[in-house]
Amino acid sequence: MSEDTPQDNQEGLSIEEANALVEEHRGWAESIARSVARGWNLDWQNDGLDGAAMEALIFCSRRFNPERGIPFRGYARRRIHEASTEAARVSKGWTRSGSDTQFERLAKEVSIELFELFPELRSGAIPMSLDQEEGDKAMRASIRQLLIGATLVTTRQGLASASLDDIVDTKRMVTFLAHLEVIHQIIIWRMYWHGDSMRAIASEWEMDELNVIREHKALVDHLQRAIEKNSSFEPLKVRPALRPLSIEMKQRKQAGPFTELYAQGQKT
Amino acid sequence: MSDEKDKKNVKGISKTQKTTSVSKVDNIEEVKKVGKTTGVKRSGKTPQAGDNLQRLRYEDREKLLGMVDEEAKNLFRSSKLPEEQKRLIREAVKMAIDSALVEEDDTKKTKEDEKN
Repeated sequence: MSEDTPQDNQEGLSIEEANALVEEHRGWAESIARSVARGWNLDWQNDGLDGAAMEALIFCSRRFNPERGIPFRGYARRRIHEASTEAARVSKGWTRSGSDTQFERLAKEVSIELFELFPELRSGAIPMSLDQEEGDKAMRASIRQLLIGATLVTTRQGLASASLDDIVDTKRMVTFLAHLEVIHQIIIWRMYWHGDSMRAIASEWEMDELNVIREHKALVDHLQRAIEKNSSFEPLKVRPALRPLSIEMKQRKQAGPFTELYAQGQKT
Repeated sequence: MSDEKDKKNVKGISKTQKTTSVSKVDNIEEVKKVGKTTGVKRSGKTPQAGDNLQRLRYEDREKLLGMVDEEAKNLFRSSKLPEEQKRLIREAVKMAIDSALVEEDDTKKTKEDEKN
């Protein structure tokens, strides 16, 4: 709830109007909490998701400014979802003992990272792939993007684990990543290993966020083809918008993070 | 002294190279008429970061979760990733999608939506 928004620091509604908004959207906010609970097999009330959602709803109602032209639900949805997932994460149900819990907990952890990587999910949307497809085809392409995202997250988790088996399994993926262009390695490393947003990367590189979004989508498509065929291709070509930066990196002889990781693995 | 020395260094003027005649100018083609100009089209909307999104609908829940299974099967068909990891990836994506599907988004229209 700390994130500054366009709604902040503006003259908002009167307390009566804000309360009316809470009243009107209460059921909807609870519905978001129930969705989070359903997805993670939790109890939306016993695990405290209802309270977190209400708190976020009240917070948003106090900050909402209709003059900004953004509908209330569009403004509040992401924050209510975020508050519900945060409450879920610290709930007793998150680490509930029982059968299959270790697997379930790991899956929950990966899915929470997907919300960070694809924040549009919190707003009830899914990122589209680069292909100009529509309907089911487009939806399937988006789902593949999520699957690739989750594959990278589990690869990182596998590397972090002490299990030799896991390391051997994930080594193939690291080998593939190590052969990508340096700039592509950096995008994956920063997003999936460090949790940086595409906006943060674009801002550091002093360019439009869309350039990084498009490069990432092309990269995900490339990884998808490599996983499907179980073979490494020629490294993906850098798109024109990022090419000057990529050339600069090469001229500086900057090593890719996965190339370094791969080299370390070869030494040990 | 120096003039004499310079003179000694002067060699005869070499013959001029044979000149070739200037070729005739080719026929000048007629200048084409300027075509009719067309109005400049309105510039399209600049794409924004949030433009490439698809809405998830609760009523498609079963279909979407089924799609995850099918796409995971296709994606990992030839992959050597361990089965446990594949299952983990599939379940995590299903959880994320399921948590993003809000029942009331589709079923109830608010006063605000009606106004908009």
